[in-house]
Amino acid sequence: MNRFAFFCLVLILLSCTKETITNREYPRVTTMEVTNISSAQAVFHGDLFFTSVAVTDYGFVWSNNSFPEINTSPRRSLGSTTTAGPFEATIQGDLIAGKEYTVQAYAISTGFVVYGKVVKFTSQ
Amino acid sequence: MVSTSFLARVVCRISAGLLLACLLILLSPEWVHGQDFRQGYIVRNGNDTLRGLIAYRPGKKGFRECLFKSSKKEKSTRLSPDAIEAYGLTGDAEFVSATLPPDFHKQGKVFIRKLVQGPLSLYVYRGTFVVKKDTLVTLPRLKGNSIKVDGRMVYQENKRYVGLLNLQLQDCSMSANTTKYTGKELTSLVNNYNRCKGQMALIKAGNRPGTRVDFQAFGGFLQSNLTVNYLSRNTFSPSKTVFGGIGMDISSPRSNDKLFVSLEAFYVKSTYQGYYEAPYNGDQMRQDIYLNVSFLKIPLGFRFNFRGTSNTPYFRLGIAQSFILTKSDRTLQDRVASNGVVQSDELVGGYRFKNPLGVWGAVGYQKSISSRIAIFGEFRFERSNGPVGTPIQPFSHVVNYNAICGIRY
Repeated sequence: MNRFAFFCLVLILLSCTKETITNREYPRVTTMEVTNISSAQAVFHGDLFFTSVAVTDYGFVWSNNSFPEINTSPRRSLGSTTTAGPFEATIQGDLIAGKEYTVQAYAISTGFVVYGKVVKFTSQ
Repeated sequence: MVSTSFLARVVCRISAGLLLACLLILLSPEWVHGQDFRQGYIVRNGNDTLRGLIAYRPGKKGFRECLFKSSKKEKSTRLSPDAIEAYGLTGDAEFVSATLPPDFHKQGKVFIRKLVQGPLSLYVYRGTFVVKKDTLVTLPRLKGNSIKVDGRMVYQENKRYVGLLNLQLQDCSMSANTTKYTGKELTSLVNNYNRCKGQMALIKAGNRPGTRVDFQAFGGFLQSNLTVNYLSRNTFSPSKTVFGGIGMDISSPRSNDKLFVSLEAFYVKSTYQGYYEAPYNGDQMRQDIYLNVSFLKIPLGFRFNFRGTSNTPYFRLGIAQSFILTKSDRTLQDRVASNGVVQSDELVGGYRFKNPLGVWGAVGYQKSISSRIAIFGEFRFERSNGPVGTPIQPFSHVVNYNAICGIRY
């Protein structure tokens, strides 16, 4: 009886709702705040979530006007990956001091190019 | 206007709940299969006592007749005040057969409830007290009326019972001038008189407290289903969480030991996660919506025990007001273009929150584990407006299912 009660309690506690990211047919990526901003460099951060898709390329694109675009804007590719989770890239020498930039993390899978949210920063 | 319609819905649901409560009371085992019989006795006219089961009937019926059966399986017998001398519930009230004084304008015998027995005895009949030294003397109820004195209305209180009591008490030089017309104060006064006469008064058991407060601590599991009115019904998956709280049940055992007013407070944190998809300007918009809300929930209602014993099934009904303690909302949005380009975004603060108000009903079972402590298990259903909305427009509603267990003491 006690074992049954304990089992029920564990089951209830484990069934408590936690936030989860819904899986899609494409990888999900988000851009996080830029750190270590200076005239020489900035560190971009992103987070990648996927389970059953192959990520052929991921990284960051940035631009000093409106939305960056993967084919026309500067980008830092981190290659393909099979591992989800946070990632970062240090950008050196490509920034002009005092300019406002927008950066987006990106991930490419078969048939999809996914951009994370737009994050703005001003180089120093 | 929307708020008014919501109130109308709440009132409608409360009415439905009350109707359901009445039905449940009417269909409760005592009403379907007979009365609530408890251990007791009758004193027959030959002064012999017969033990058995007496119907517990708070209210005026107990003054009119006694329902008695010698065992559970037997059929009950109606006994009038002419048929027996007295009856009583073990450890509870005793009623004796008596002819009331003429000022009651009541022919024949009735049962009067014994409060104190001694040189001076005290009884009560449907709220009116009666004392007996040699004969029964009515203590008229406290009456007040307005009279005109010198053109002004003056409130006058008729305290005839004080004078009549003083007559009874004069051989002990006692006074009833400051005694209120309540069972507690009159019992105390008559008891003191009997002590003065050198005889300890026999205060009858069953002078149960006018008010009793039981406390409870409980915990449980909550499944909360949120529906936002402008989204499809299954947008949000249910929030499942555990919670804990405290409460108290207030009752008046003297008038009814099965009915309680319940007040509770408990903390609950709900996480609602939803998915919404719709076409948008030629693209497909997909949203993961996260709502995190913690509440202090205050349910207020009443509990009705089906049996007068400590081990009893019960039901409860009431309203619940929730107060939001913390809240956050986040929407992860993907805009999927037909060429396979997906633009993700994160939106924060898109929802407005309001304190939900709802109605609830519960069924449960209580089992005593000692003379003072009982454990209980309960299933509760609640329907309320949801936490998402504005002060004037409820955008959402919530259906909650609770499994609760706890301890009452």
